[in-house]
Amino acid sequence: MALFGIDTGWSSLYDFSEGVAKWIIGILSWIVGGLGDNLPWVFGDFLHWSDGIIRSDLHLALVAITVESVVLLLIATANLLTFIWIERKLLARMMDRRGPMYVGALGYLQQIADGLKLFLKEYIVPEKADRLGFDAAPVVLSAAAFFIIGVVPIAPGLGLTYQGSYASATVLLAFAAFAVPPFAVLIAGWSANNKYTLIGGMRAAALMMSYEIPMLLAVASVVVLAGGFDFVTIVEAQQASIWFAAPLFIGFVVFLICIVAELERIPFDLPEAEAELVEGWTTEYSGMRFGMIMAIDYLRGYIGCLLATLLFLGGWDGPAILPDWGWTLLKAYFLWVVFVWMRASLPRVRTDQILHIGWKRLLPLAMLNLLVAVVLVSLGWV
Amino acid sequence: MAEMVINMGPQHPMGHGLWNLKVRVDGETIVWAEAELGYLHRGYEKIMENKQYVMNIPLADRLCYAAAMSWSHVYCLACEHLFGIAVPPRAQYIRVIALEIQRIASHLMWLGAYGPDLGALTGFLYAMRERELFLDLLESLTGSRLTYTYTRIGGLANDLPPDFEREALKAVAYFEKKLNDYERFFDGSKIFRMRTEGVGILRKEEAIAAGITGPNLRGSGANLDIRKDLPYEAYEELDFEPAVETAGDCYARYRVRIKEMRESCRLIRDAFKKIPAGDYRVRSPRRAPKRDAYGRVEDPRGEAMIYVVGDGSDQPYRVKIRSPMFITMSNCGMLLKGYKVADVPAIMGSIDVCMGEADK
Amino acid sequence: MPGGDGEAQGLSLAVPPQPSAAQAKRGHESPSQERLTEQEVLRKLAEQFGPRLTDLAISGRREVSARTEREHVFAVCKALMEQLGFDHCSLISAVDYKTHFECVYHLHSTIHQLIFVLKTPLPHDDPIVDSVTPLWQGANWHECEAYDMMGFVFRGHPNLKRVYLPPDTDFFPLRKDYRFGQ
Repeated sequence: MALFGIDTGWSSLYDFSEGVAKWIIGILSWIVGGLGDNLPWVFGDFLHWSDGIIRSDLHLALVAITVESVVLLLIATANLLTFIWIERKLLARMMDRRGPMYVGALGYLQQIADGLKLFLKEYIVPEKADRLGFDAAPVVLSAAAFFIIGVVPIAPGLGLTYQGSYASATVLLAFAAFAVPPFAVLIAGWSANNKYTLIGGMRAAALMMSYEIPMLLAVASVVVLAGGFDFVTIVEAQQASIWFAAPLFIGFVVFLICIVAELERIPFDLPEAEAELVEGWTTEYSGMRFGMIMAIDYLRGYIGCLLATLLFLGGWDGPAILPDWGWTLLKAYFLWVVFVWMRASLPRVRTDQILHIGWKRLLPLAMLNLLVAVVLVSLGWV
Repeated sequence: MAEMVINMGPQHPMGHGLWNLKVRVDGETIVWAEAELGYLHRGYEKIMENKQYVMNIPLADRLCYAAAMSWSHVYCLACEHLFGIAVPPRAQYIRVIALEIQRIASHLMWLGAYGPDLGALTGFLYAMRERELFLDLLESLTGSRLTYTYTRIGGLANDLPPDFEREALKAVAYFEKKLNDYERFFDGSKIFRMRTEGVGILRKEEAIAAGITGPNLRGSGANLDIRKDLPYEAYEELDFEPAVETAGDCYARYRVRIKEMRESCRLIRDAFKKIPAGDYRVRSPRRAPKRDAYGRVEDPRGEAMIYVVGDGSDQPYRVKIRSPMFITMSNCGMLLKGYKVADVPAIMGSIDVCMGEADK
Repeated sequence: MPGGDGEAQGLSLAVPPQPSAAQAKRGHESPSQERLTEQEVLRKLAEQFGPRLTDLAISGRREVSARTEREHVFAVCKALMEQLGFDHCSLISAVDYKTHFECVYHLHSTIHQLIFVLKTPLPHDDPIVDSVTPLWQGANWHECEAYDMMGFVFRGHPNLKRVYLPPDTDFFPLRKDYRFGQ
């Protein structure tokens, strides 16, 4: 795996994290084993037995995977910060103003400052709110988003693997996790004991669930063309023939629109429409919970752009000027710029019009797209 | 879902001012709506009774701060009818120019607020940017950007500054080109049209019976504009067409205001061509005769009237203010019934609410 | 401008609309040849109401004014609306003259572009008058405001309530005997 042009000799991220894990386990084992040597009787036996477990393969695998996850989280967070920065600066420039300017070079550190500020805010819970639902909903939302990060690879070796091999059917896993947020949103809106959040939550859930279907149909067409259910197969199929955005152009557009709807961005902003229902289903959240929800929104944006890149734009396919993860990220950023552009220029669509678009326009188009994919595969052109 | 009463307001990012809208919904559809005003009631009419005539001019400005020139003008018009003095022609033309610049600024303020109501965030900044041009003009004319205190009973506070004509014509020419950009941004957006066409339909007969006037009425097909029907100041000698659309929905009201901005540009140019030389002010007496009079003008929001009763002293005996927005908001129920909750910002935004004048 | 006489002398070819046609013609912007002149309005009202309307005069360009007693207000307004095409109620003002109240109606005809000013005195201890809301829906909140500020009671109003002050206020601020802080 080549990182910044230097050949690291690791075949995948797992190699790196296995090395780190072995080092961690070595230290742990030295401590526990050393204690076990010096302590008498049953303590010593117990510690020696624990030492055996620490040195086992299962433990090594677990620690290695944890290290991998941490690395991937750091990468995702770095990208998240840049995504937010691009949105703020680009949106501002399109509106003939500047955006963040002073904190950090070109205002890059502004969102860190904003996040830190949110830590200082008081966490207020409405009196009659259902505590379990209220507290659990953001957690479920975050968990679903982070789960997808684990499943989506940025480069052939740069993903959550076990000894270099991915989970099978990662596409299914990713989209299954993508389908969990509507429930979290509904629970969040209901448990805050507030008429407005209830309306907002119901609208958001209706919106998201109705846009899942054309999205999954578009993904199905990609799977049909690629012949496999995991991302590596799909990208390799695109590397072998042509980026799927070309034959499946309709599906690409449908997928992008569905991603915008899932992210609740303008033009599908109505559950959160600030002019009406204040913040929609997130109204009653304050402090860092609210910050988490906002950050997860952008994280899902990052994930959506990554998914679109891997499925339609060839993933890490590109000439060798940039490393493969560079190409993936470049394409994802390009899609994000398109999303920000949409936010700057379009008004909001009304809820019933959103559902009309989703069910009566996108669904037939997605099915047409699936038909195109099946025809292409059976003719053997792709 | 059962019927629910929702209180939209009084603190509300959408409000365009401080007012409460009580809405009874059945699912998503509104079955009954009523506006609740009075949060900004400042007791204008009582205050005006305790001040001299000339001291009420800055007060009248602050009735609707987005169209301040128009309100101090209607007050001065009413007082001039009361005192029985005639304003010199040059002052009349300058008043027309100032009023039309104010009309453009007020409509731009409306457009800047209407875009974000519907989610088109960028519209706000574009409208504000163009409005700066006209606020700069008014600042060079009167000294302030928002509330001017420019008209006096009998004329104006000062004549046109040097170079005003050149600057105004430059601004107007630039703005007319920018209006094309706005039309592309809003009219060309399918989503904007989806949100505003067919929404908030107001029929002509209902509107006149309900007392709705101004661009809201002209959007329903009524060719009624006080500047043309019962002209005041120099409007009789100037050449313009009232903007009329027939559909009666939010999109029609939007088109009416865009057309009115173009007509205002045309009026400004025409006024500059025809403006005579002369005095800009006639001294008014201090004490009013014992009678009553009214001034009635076409405010950017509709028909504005002030009815003044004089009692022989230098303070008005009674000042009654007719605010177009007060009457339009009384008809909220008619406007909103049958539409969805999500249409409320679209409809109430298209009416161009200004609470300052509605609450007095 | 005040003092001007109606210049549409020779254009009196207008036919007064029938009572139901006034409803249909609401909002019809008629060319100036079809418009009534102030003299015609004066004549028709004098014919119909005779001594019940006092001080009937042309008080300005396209403006006619009159005074009446409070019992006849509704009948006069009905005649104005149905027969003479005054379809827009511009303003209803309440004035406190210390010895009596006065309710001033400014009515506007979009068809003929005329303004009619109707004044009616009300006794100081009993300011009750018939509501004109059944004729012009736009008069609804004008009358509510007159009630709120001056205490006039409009008989027959569908929903006379306070619009500016809180509903439990027990004084009327624009009366001349009200001093702030009572």
